[in-house]
Amino acid sequence: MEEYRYKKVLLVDDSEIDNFINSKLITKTHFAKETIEKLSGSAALEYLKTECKKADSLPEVIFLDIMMPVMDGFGFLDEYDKLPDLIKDTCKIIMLSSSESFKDLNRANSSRLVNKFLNKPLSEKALEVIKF
Amino acid sequence: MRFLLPETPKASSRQRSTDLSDENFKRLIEAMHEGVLYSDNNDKILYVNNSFCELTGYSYDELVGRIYSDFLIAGKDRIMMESKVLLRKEGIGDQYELQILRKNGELVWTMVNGIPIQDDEEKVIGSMGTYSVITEVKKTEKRLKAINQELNTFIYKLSHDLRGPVASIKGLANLARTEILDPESLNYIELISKSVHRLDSILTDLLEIVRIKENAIYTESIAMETLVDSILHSISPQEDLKKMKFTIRVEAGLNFVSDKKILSAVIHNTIDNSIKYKDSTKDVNIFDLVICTYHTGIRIIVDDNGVGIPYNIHEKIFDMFYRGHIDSKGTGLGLYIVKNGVEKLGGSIHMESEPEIGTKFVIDIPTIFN
Repeated sequence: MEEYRYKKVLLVDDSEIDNFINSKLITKTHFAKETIEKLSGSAALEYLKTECKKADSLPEVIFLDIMMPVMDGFGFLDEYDKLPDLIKDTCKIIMLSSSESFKDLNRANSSRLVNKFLNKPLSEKALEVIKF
Repeated sequence: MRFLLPETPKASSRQRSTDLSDENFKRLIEAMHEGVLYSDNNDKILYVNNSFCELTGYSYDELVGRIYSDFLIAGKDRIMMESKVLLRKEGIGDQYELQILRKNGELVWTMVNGIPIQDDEEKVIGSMGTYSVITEVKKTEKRLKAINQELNTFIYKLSHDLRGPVASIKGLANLARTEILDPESLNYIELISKSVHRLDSILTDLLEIVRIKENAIYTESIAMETLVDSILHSISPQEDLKKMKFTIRVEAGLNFVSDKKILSAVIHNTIDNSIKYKDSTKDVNIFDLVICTYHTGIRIIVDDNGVGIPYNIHEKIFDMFYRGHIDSKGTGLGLYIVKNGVEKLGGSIHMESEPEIGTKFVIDIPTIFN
């Protein structure tokens, strides 16, 4: 039986198709055993708050899309920052963008909450080199 | 009162008195469509014509004797006006745009043509200006700028937003390729994949263009060897590059101050052009890249033995969306990006090409001094 690199990852993206692609790729490459999909920043925040109360149930990695309606990726980060330290110490955030926008890249890189910035679509290659 | 044009300070007084009397000058000025204002060296109004009164909304008596810079000019323009007065005192005339504050508080844009007035000893005793109303021109200019800006934003947003779904299709095709076994379906997937990659390149190029046109230049010291290295790695697909016999010669330790992203786009697209238009009938496809110091900046030479460019289209190859070859795989934007990038960096580009022999680009870019 092949080992999974992570137990659980959370996908935050308003596009169901992109969540489908990413979740497929993540399980196929054994990047993680379980993927949770949330279609908005607020739904993801709620999820994190709930899981925080259970033991050992938080996702280890969060894939966060930048372009989302109402609350975009950066808006999510502002709210995420207010969450308990337990969450922030457990989860690593990877920001995803399809724009290759330098502005986004700079903003993501300068945020202490973001561990990595990747372009969409996610690829096997990109997942391979992720190490925290 | 004598009017002397600054360009001809030595015009003989004899000519003036025979051809046009002072009286005729006055009548001409009074009839002029443009506003005319004559003032002494202390900005005191000595004379205005009828058109000037109409322009400002003041009567002749309300204007003459007053200091015009005190009430006809908006605060923000007063410093500029002081420099104009100094110019006049040195006997120099010039043209500039100025907002006039009307009696009713409105601001009106005018084009001013100011000249110094000299006495018989050629001493400057005041200045005279003609004022043409250009409110409409200004409005149009403002509107054009706004439309242009909006258009660029639109293209940027459009290319930006389209990339989301394009990335999704790319992702789906990648997944499908690994899961679908039926060869016929797989063939369709490959074709979809190819098309979506092409669409993606067009969007990337469009974004690049808007970025070059709109963004301010950001200068930094660039290690050219490192930059060229990263450009070669970003050529896609890498196999196309590997198939070429390329020589890279970058002057050792060359550092250059310019905008890295724009410079990178220029070099990338020039190399890409050589790769795209290689001559498949030749046994070896060559391109040489040379980067060296040149005057205050650098010279970039990209030389290939590709298909070459027919003489009749030499003029067109830098045009937007122009594709000069029958099996062009490009977007038609590559050399347009190169040209725009080079222009933005204040450089120049020169092309030599012979069909079936090859093409050579020589790009000179000056160092940007802050």
